[in-house]
Amino acid sequence: MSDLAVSLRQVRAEQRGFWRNRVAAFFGFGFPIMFLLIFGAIFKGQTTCIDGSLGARGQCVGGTLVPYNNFFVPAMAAWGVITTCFSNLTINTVYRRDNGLLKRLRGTPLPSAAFVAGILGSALISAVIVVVLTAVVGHLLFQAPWPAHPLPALVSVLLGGLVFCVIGLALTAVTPNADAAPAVMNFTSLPLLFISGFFFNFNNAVFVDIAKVFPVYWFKEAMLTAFGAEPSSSGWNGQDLLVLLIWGVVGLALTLRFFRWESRRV
Amino acid sequence: MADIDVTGLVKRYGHVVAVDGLSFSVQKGEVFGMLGPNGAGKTTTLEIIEGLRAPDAGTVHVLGTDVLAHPGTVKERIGVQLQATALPDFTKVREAVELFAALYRQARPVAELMAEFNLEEKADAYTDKLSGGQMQRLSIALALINDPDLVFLDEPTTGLDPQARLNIWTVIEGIRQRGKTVVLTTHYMEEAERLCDRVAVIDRGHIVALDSPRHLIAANAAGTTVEFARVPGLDVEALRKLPGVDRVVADGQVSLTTRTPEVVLHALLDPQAPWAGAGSAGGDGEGEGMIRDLVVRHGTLEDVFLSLTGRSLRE
Repeated sequence: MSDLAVSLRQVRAEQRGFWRNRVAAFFGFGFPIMFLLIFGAIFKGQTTCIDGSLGARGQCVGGTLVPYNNFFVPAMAAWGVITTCFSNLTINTVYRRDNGLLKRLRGTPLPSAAFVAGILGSALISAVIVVVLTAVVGHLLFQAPWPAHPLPALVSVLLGGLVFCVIGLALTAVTPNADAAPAVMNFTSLPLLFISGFFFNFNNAVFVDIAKVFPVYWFKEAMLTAFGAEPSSSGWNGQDLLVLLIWGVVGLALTLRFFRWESRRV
Repeated sequence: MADIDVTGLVKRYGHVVAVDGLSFSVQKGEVFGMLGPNGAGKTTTLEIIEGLRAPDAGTVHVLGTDVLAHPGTVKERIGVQLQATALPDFTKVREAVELFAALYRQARPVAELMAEFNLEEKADAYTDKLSGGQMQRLSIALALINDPDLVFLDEPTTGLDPQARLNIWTVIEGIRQRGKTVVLTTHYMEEAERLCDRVAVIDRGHIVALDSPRHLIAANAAGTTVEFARVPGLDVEALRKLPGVDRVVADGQVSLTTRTPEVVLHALLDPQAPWAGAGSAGGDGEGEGMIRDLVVRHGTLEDVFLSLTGRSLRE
């Protein structure tokens, strides 16, 4: 079998396992959708100021005033991608490292690259599905517009998903065991989600500056642009994608250097 | 050329020397056992040979190939069963076999392998619903999916009930009958005695002895003990002079220690011997002699380990 065929087979096996594992599928898909339903209902009909600050009379200074759900749908779609590609993939990989599956596969001729391609491919498929699902729910229940720029949206999802996958794989190196994995994932992603303005406009300059160091912020920006929440003629924002790409390269280098195929000896 | 050639293997974990200069060869078609307590270095050695781990020193050739230089080539031709059986979650038995079959250039037909290992009934069961014995059969089946010439089994029966263990022993004997070379680790002496052509006794990263179980026991386990009841009138001094007897202990019963039990038993059961025939103590049966309640005990590999290291195998 060629490496490509082996990789595709791995993708299929991963997807089969993902959908059979209903708890993981729920956490990947359920959380962003649940928040969309709650926040979407609460703030329906209101507006939010993106990338600016609210003035004394409620005006949006230096940013764009948009209906809340025009902003919230792409933000929750971005969170869905982060959950499936970063959190789930990392927790699952640490679990497999602990139970010895990674080592067992190393005992076969399966190339490491084909194995990794399998888990990345599967995560990206799940990511696309969660984005579509979020967009559909947002459109049907909250009259959010369809993504204004489908191609940039798809590219952002795939690039962002890939970047979060490799950063997640790099993080497995400092995650001691499967029990600690969810905590490590939540601790690294939740604060960034808040200060990157995933739920509401977060206008504290210090926090925003911190957020801008990390890819979570830029991924949200790319998704808002591609979905048309931010004014853009093309849906592309080179800076967003470039920062993501740099993080991807850093994550890949760290993964290649520090990734472990078995748990530390006790 | 031997199937496995290991020379001067060393592996350290920090300050701990797990494998300390091992050298040995495994010949084609033999079942080679590595016997030792937990932490002796068996698994580490096995995983280096399988190409899963790099040694700090030494060379390893498997089926004529340098494992350290060409692990991929070797992995295609060997079968590996690790100590912890790990399979992907939410996978059915047949799917697991298919998944592993797809990892090799050449694989045996899935249906054939499942029939051979009695897994057909469980084909559509999730792997986490299997019993320990079934799981182990699946694990060994997966190790044979590429029809390898050389199979590694790391503690194949640890944690199994006696019935399941017997079942796995039969499986391993079947693998051997098909001419495959098997390397297995165990800390069960009866397993090594029954299955292995040769056994390397490993302690603290060293091979302390390497031979067939029978020779190991003969050389290190103080021979065989022949025991019987001490009947009044039995001439203990005459027993001491029997050919092959090394030592006689006579208290409530008589114990003869020997390295040649066949010779001793022949002399002991000779119909012309003074203790043969009708006994003076008035036995229950016609023609019953003075040798009653006879028991022959072998030395075991447990005794070998104790004698070589001064410690018990499972302490």
